[in-house]
Amino acid sequence: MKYRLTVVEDNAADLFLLKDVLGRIGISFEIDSFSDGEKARTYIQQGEAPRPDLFLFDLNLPFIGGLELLQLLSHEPRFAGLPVLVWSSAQSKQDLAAIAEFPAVEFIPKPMDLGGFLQIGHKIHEMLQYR
Amino acid sequence: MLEFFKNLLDTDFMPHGHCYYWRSEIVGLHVISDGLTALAYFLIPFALVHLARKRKDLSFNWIFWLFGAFILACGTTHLMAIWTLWHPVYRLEGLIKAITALASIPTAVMLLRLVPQAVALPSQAQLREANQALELEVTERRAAEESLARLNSDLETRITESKADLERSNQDLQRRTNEVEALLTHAPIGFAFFDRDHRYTRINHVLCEINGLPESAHLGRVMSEVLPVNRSTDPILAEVFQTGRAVEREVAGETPKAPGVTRYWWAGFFPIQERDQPVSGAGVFVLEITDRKRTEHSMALLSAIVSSSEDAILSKDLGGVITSWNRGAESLFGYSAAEAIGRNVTMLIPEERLGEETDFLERLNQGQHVNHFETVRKRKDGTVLHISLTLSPLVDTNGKIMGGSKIARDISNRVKNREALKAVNRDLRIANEDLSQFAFAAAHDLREPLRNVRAYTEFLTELYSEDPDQKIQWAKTVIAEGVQRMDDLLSGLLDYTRLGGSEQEIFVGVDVSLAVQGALRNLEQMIETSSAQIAFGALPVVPGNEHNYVQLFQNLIGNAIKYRGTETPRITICAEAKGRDWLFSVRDNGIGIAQEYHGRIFGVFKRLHGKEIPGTGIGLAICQKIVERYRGRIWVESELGKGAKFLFTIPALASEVADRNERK
Repeated sequence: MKYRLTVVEDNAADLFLLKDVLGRIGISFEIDSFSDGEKARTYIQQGEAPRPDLFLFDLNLPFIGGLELLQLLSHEPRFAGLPVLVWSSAQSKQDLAAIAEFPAVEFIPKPMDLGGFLQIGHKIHEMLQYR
Repeated sequence: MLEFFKNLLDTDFMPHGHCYYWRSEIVGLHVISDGLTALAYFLIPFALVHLARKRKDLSFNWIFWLFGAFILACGTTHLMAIWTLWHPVYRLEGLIKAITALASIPTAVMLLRLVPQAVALPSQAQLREANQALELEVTERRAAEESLARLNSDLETRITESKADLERSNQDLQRRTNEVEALLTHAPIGFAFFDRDHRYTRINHVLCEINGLPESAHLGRVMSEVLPVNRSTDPILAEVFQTGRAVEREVAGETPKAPGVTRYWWAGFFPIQERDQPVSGAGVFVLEITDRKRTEHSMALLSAIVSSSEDAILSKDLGGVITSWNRGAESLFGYSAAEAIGRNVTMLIPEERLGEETDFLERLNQGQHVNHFETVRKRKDGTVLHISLTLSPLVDTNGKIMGGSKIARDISNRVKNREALKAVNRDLRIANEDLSQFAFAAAHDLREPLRNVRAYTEFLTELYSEDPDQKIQWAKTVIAEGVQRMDDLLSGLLDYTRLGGSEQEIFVGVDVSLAVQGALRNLEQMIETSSAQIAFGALPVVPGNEHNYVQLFQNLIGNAIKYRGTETPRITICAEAKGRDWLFSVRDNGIGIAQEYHGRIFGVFKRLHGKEIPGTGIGLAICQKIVERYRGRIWVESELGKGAKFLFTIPALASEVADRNERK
């Protein structure tokens, strides 16, 4: 089956590598990606797009940050129960504490190397399979 | 003879009347004449004997007795002459005549012998004269006796009186002696007396105490023997003896009572002498005035301090009326002492602050102090100034509050500076926060591309799997090392900025030994590789969070191993109580640090070594930041080649400080 992922990520290089490892693992997927928070909010609040199988947010985004997007997402019933993954290359304690407020959300530091990307690919595969 | 007495009464003779022929005229004449003579002769002895008996004072009265007997005998012969006229008892008559003769002869002899003496007997006239003279004499004597008696009684009265006088003077003298003795004993004044050789003859206990010597050490000695340490009074005593005038003087010196301590006395030496006589002795009274002198000295000192103080120092009574005003007050408020004293302090207080004075006076009345109260006052010229006020109650010797002392310090500059400092601090905090945010963002943003560089390097090497001479692999290694190094620096910088401490953390107790153990666990591999020996004894519990202390010890121990010499690294960690702090030390036997770098090593990115020893140059900066966060201090003691000892202080927990104070 083909999974549908919604990714909000301003770093095209990370997005590229993510897609690459997901392909290597052999997951069949389609990605809706947004390069800033503003675009992502429009997508979340419009209510027209199809429901994805998994969200992936970066924390540090232009215009609207990942935490705020999580907040908006939680107010949209149609996304209830969806697995959400948040990743970041730098995070403060407050960020982590805020993320912990959302039970369905999981945090992962952005990988430092190719091996890290692969691990994340496997993690996403798992989440899609056992959601 | 016997015959004679047998016929004594015989009348064998013819009666004598016959001789007269019994002629009646002759017989009659004889009878009457002899009868009258006998009567007279019988009467005379009575008179004589009566006289002799009555006048026992008469000299020679025995002669009257003899006369009496002789005349009586004569009378009897006359009676016998009558009797024989008729009865011729001539024997008896002859016997009686013989007896009469026997009485007459001694009488005559006695009388003859008596005549010269009788001639000497005064005559009646003489006697009368004598008697008169005697009477006169008696009268005179009586008068004399009377006057003598008067005199006697006078004398007696006088003796009684003078006896009473003497008694009174004796009592007087005793009373005066008692008074003087009491004075010597009870007056808080030292007394001593000296004889003409300047030797002590008397000293009271107060002076003994002043001199610190018993009475026995004085008596019979001169001052220079008793007080060889204090010769200041010798010349004064000499002067008194010389001039006969009293001398009073303040003297200073020491006595055995307090060796080496200069003390002060008011000493008065005075001569003892009777009028117009040379000085027979001298006395001295000594008043200890050391305390007074010291008080005077410190008063003078205090007064000098007060008057020269730049702070305004003034006092006021309980009504707020100014009672003293120093030079500082003159220059601070612009009023001279003459202008200020007697006026109410309210003249200095701006209207809107008059309530403060009411409050102050209330506090004064309750004996309370006001410390460093910052307020505003106005000068004589109306300008206002900021002052810091300290107010203390002034208490008289009976403990009664009589007013207050005020110390006012001009803090206009301080207030100005504080305002400026506040502004600077605010700016600084903003700048700091900005910087912190900037550093965080910078570190984050710089790391972001690094991840890309690393990941894509790997990606590229995968794409170029053909790598016959391992050039691609080599390039990848170089890039990866650069990235790693950059990443280390950035994460160090991130750690550092995270230690900013702007977060309000509650410091709980951290067991430092647990923190050290944590650090050792983190350094496990490094310790194993270097076979470092690490020793630490009992370590205290201090305020803070454990994470900081783990990092602190990890950095210090890590450095100690990293900068080891040729020997096996030996590291000792100690802690000791120091005042209100704990002083920690981490000592190693490594390469040490030259003196000139001691100040620099705690700076960010300051490194003394090249790539031969890996490091980011941020470890000690982090240590310093942690220690300073807890208001401690960190420094190093080291010489090049002789190991290093890093020391830092951390304030002890409040409970521990209290314990330490109690142990003191």
